[in-house]
Amino acid sequence: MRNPARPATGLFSPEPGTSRCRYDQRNAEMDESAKWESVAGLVAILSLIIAALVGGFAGELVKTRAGATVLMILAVVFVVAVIAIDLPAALDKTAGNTFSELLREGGTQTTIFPWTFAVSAGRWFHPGDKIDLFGIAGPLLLMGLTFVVVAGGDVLRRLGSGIPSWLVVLTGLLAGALLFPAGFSVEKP
Amino acid sequence: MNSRLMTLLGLAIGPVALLLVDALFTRQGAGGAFENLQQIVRSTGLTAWPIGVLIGHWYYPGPLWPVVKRPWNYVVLGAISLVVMLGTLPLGAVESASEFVSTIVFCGGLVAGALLWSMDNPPTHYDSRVMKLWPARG
Repeated sequence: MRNPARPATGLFSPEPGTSRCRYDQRNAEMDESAKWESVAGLVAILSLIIAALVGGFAGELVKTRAGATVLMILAVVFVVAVIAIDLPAALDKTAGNTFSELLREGGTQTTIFPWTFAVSAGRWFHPGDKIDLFGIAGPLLLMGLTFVVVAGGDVLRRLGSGIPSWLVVLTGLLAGALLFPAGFSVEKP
Repeated sequence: MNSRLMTLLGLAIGPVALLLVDALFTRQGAGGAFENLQQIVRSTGLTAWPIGVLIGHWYYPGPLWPVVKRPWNYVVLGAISLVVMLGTLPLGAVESASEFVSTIVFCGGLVAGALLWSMDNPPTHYDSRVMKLWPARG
């Protein structure tokens, strides 16, 4: 029998702290989450279209001032977007949801992320402006090595001992520098 | 924002951002715009340092906690970053600086990111080796 001293709680006004209230809160959070995931899905499609355009036309775009300006603006917009999205995640109460935490955690699940960042950094910041040890074979070797690192890392992780992220990074830096270096021709003033 | 949504957003935006940055850093055609960008990337620490720090911050061998206690580690890292990034700016005009400056600064950034911006916390349990570095308070 219900305690007569307690006020009756209707179906749509559950008592705070009860399981009903927690259930409603969880539903509301899931609705909110689903809404944001739809937005993220749209962003992903837009992002893929831009990626295809960048991949296809970047070489031509940078040759003209207008094209390079478009690329520069897009790059700034995307980098600022990454930071802008990460800030509220860093300030809220949810633990482990910032890009940094997700990337570190992701490094234990797959080698793709540390490998991609390290190869890019090796490609951009290699020593020597004109190193080209492997020529056209370099990118092909890099593709093969990427497959070995990603698939091998996954197999090792399933066996119980994944490749440490720092080792993936060091290997990726060397691979990017030796197999896929950007050819620079810096004009001194 | 939950982790799943953040992962989705990161996967949506991150690759394109990386592609765009790569295009700007490496595909500056002859007679194109922003020619100085390549020179800045290769001859100064303006881009190599923050990228090195971020990669060191994400993928340091761990568990590892900052060698300077929080929040002072951020102050020290910020100060070093300012010194390195601004201090290497004049090298942009130095002949042959592009051959090695970005490489050295990037490696320095990796180490700084790992030592000053690692994500782990020092252990709270008693460990004589650790307590020498992190004496208990109170």
